[in-house]
Amino acid sequence: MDLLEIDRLSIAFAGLQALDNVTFSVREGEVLGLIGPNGAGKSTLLNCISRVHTPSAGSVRYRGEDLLRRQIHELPALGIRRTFQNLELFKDATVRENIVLGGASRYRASVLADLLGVSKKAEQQLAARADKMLKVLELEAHADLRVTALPYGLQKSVELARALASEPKLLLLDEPAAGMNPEESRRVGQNIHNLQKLGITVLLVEHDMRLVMSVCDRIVVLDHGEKIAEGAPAAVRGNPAVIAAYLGEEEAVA
Amino acid sequence: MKWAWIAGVAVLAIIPLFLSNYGWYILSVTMVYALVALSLNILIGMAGQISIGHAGFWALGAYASAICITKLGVPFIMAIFVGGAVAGVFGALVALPALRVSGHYLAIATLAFAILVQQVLFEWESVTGGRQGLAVPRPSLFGVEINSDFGYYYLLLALFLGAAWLTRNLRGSLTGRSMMALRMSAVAAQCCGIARARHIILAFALSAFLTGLSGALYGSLIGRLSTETFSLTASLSFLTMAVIGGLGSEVGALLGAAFLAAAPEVLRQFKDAEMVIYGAILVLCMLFLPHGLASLGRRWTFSK
Repeated sequence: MDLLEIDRLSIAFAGLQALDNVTFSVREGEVLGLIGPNGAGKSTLLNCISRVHTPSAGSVRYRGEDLLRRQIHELPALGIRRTFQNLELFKDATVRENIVLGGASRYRASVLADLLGVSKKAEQQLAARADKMLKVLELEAHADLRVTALPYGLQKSVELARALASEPKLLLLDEPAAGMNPEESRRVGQNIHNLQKLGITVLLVEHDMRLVMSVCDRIVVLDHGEKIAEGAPAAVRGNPAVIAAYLGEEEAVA
Repeated sequence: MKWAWIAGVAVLAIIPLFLSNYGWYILSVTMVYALVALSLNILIGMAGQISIGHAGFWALGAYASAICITKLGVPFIMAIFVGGAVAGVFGALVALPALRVSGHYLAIATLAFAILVQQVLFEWESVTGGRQGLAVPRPSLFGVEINSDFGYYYLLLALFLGAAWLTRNLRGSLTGRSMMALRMSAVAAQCCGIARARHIILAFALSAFLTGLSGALYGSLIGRLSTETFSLTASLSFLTMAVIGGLGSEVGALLGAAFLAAAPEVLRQFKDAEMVIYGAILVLCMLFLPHGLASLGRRWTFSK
């Protein structure tokens, strides 16, 4: 079953066509890789799905519902979360606090109760949820450190833990292995496998081809804002249009 | 920590016993200002929004309350909360541009709001007294007039402690921390499910409410309202106070307020040099106490 349907999506920035008529679907339970050379429109597509950007044409449907009618902060409650290519952490806060805030959508705050300091029970639920995530991603030892005190790789883990704190159904990962060494990259792959086992559907934007080929069920390839290939990793790897795009030799193929 | 609080409140409760009229007045002004400092703690310290128009909310609270008392016969203790509520509603309205613009543009928008309020109050003579000003009767509780600033100080202290308690709760709560999350990264906070509009409007409304309440209490303390009081200078003094005290704590709010209330009185003896010394203190505070007077205590503890 299709969890997410992207239909003829287009968006332009200052005359540059960042996405042009892109159509594909993400099936429930799969890990779908989204790859392409720099500037292909991968992050833009992720931003359109997560409502950071509003596309100029086309539609994004999640379980049949039009996502473009939703505001950015409503997505977590629907079960959609994302991470960022360049970390977007709450820099002055601790690791634990970052993850607690990640569960904010699970908690209906009453302003009056918060002012009077009587929302302890809901607070405890959030804290328990955060503790669980700290354990899953092996961040317990760093829980009370300021998040910026952690090395880059661990900061990426914090961002993932924050996204998982609301127990999403669909996770959009924007280059989770960027800037990581091969060992850390392998761990990212392991994490993605584990997410899939938990029933989480993953849309993965990534440059590390070894990682993409090892974790993805299917792959969509973008180039200059257009979809140029879609299919199983092996098929995509051998596709001449894909090879050409990565080598920058479109003319030779045409 | 708890004992530090109890000790602090005890000191605040005992101080007036060693002072006379003039001292009581300065203490009362301090409490009035401290409410504004708390309100800026919420708006700037938590939500990361800027306002150089808080004199506008202060004026709205002061005039709304005074008009309720003098023209509508509303009891003082209710009127001050009406003053806060009126300012709070305008705070929510001023938040609307804040959803679209930030930084310099927001600063200009809030400044324009304050100038507008001041002009309307000045021109609307039939209700506000215009250039004549508006006389405000002494505060009274349950029909008993509070004649001396000694008694009024304790009412102000109680209101400040209540507001400080609420602010502290807010800071520790998910609502307050959501505001801080928006300040640190608006896009990440929204991706966590935090509604930006709701929290920014709330921060402005709560902040304006406290400042309006302060304005209402100020009117009854001074006894006469004049639109000149609610100028850009007042807005800037409020910002100075918040920065000097420190934006992250209730103690900082109180220290900043004490500075704003006492500095002109202490510096008056230097006559022409008054503003120079005042300015020098500000610069020194900015340079050596970037987290405000409230961070002094922490520093001493660490250096030992």
